[in-house]
Amino acid sequence: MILRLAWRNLWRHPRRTLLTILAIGFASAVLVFFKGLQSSSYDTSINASIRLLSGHLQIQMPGYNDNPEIRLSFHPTDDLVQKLRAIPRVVDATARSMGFAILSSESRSYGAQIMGVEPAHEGNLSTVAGVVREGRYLSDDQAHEIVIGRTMAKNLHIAVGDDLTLLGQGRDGSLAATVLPVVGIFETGSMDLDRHLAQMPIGSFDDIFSMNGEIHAIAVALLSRDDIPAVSAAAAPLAPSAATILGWEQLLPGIKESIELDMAGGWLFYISLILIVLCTILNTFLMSILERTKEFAVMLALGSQPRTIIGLILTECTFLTIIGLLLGIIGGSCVILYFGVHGFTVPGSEALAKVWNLPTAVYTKLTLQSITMAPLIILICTLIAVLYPTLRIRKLEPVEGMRG
Amino acid sequence: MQTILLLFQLALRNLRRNRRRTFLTVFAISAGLWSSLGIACIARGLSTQMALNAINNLTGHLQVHAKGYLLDPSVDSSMDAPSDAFIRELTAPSITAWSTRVRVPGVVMSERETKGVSLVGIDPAQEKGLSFIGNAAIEGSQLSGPTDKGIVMGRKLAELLRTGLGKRVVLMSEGRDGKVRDRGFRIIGIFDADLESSERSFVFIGRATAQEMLDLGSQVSEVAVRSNDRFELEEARSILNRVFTQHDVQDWTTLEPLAVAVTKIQNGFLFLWSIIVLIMIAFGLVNTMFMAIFERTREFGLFQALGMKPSSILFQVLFESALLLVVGGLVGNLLSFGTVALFRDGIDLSHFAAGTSQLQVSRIFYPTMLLRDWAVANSVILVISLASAFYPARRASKLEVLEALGR
Repeated sequence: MILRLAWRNLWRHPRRTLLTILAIGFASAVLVFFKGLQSSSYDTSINASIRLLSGHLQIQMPGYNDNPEIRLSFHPTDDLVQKLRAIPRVVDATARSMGFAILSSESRSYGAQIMGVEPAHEGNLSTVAGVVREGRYLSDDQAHEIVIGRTMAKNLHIAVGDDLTLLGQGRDGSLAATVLPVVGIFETGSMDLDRHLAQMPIGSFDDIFSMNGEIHAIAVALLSRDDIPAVSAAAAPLAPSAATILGWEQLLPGIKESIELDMAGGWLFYISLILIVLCTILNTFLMSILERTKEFAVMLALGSQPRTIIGLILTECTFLTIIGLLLGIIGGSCVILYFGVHGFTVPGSEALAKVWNLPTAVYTKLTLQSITMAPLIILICTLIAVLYPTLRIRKLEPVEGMRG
Repeated sequence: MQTILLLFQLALRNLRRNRRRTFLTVFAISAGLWSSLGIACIARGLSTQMALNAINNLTGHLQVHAKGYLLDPSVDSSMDAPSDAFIRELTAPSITAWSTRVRVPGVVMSERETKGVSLVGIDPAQEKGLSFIGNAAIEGSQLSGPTDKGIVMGRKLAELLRTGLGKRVVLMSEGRDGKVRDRGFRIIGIFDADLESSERSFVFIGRATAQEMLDLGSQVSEVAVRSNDRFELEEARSILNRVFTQHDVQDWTTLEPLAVAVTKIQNGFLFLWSIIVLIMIAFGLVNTMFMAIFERTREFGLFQALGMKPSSILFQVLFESALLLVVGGLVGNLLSFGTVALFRDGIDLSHFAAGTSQLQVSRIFYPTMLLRDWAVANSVILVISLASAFYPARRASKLEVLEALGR
């Protein structure tokens, strides 16, 4: 009965009700879409960064992540990497070594980060192998060759087929020197990698840098970020006891914190919008309560309990708010789905994408959290705010109320 | 005049009659204004800081290079230092500071580590007021002049190299003849910079020392110039074009596209945000005004029966909205100015140090109120409030007298 009364009451003032529903609907659509866009953007950047080079987790010596010294290496037991590949949810695992060297062409010299990789597996860990624009990627573990980034190739004035002299310091302090042919030039789109990274087969790296069979890291790619805890637990007993297992958040603290920074900023928007929409809703509800004092008084005089009236008012408010929120959720979801297909791009963001290693288009995904969080907050705040004037009904004196 | 005063008083009385509703509406308007303006200030603060960081990061307002340096920033693309005749031109009032530098890629080796860096040969006196190194906080001491034999490096780099003040490092770079030159330097100073990337990438030595080490004679890699306004560079640019006819002259917007890109994107976003806030306020205001009119239908009917013109009713309602607007606007503006004043010493983002380093923004920024943003935010609120009040006001003035009295 209360439900029918509440519904009828809402439509006594159609324009007011409609305007309020539209206001709530608009606000929640905006919030739902922004939240969806935000989550999808974060997801996309994290996955893109993981896929670029670091992988989901890595096994390293403690301290190596903060300060990559060539001496902080470890010896992988013979089938460690194979065992890691066998863990469920693992896409691939690969060994890596790293060192700094000066690469010289005929006319130029530049410092570079040299990374020793397993060519057969590296492609599953990082996109570098897949973006070789000229020449080819590395062939096998022992090959005597090198691939470099497009910017570095430009700076060194060399092309595929030319030789580079490598000059660095080995693990034992001895000179690391050799001449390597450039077999491929890659272009990841990341300014940093294209300028500073060079990759060579890990067997040759071991020779040249006197690694003696030791490596610096095992990088592991998983099916999803959610698998990291389970796989870390499974990998822990297999890894050398002194080694430590690092997840993407420790490998890419910059990404993690820049996302946190952005989220903090995002809260400013959400709170402002929620505050403004609350004012609008409250005005409507208050009006509808206060103008019906006489009506409530009559109902009380005829024998209704105060709590029936309170229930009635709260039901009206809930109806109104929920209709508006549902409208907003549907609207926001439609926009999310639209951009899920067409991709959301911010005009002018290409320059940023290059520097921050981000893809330019975000394909927004619908998640339960993004479509329910804001509407839920609005609903709860609304009900709390409406509670005070509603409870005052209990103090209403029927006779006085009817007179007013 | 009498009528207007009367209408004004009526409007005021109406607002006072329904305090709660007045309060809520004023709150909505001021919250809307505060959030538009506040968010704009924060956004501008960030992008301004990015631009300033980019400019201070050795870029300056304008740079001159030999043609080809930008594609190949090495010792081969050096240029002649400006002659005395040119130096006189460079002392024009629109150019507040200028310097010449050697800037080439190099490698620095400590006892433990080796890192690739940008080797910069400077005259520290020229860098004052031009780039960050001229005014940086330096532990130890700054280079004494272009002939100083020491090296000054960033704190982050010193950490990565596991070295410190007073220790020696070896600098290697390619000389004019294509051969790699190396020379030992003692670290005489360690600087802290706003951007971690500055601390990691740059090592500073005396310009003359660099020229000698690399066999450059009197040549340099670049001339950096600072004008008095980073947005008004035409005069400075034309001077430079006249002085350096065979060279590339570029300004910071071309050399550091990131800061510019961020500003552009911000403009778009802030505009979108104002529209959203505007729509929300419009909804609220229209609803409120209709409610206010509805409960006074009888009163309006009475006024009209007693001879008040419909246009007066219209104005009365508009005055009510105007009052709400003025108070809401005032409160909103006060809150905004207050927020900017509160954060006058900057907002510290050190908690997100790795994040700011990733995004290449500095760890501290200052919310900035630009006249343009203030004008836009206030006019948007003004226009939308008056527009939303207009329709209800018109309806009020068109009420049928008898019908209204009957309510």
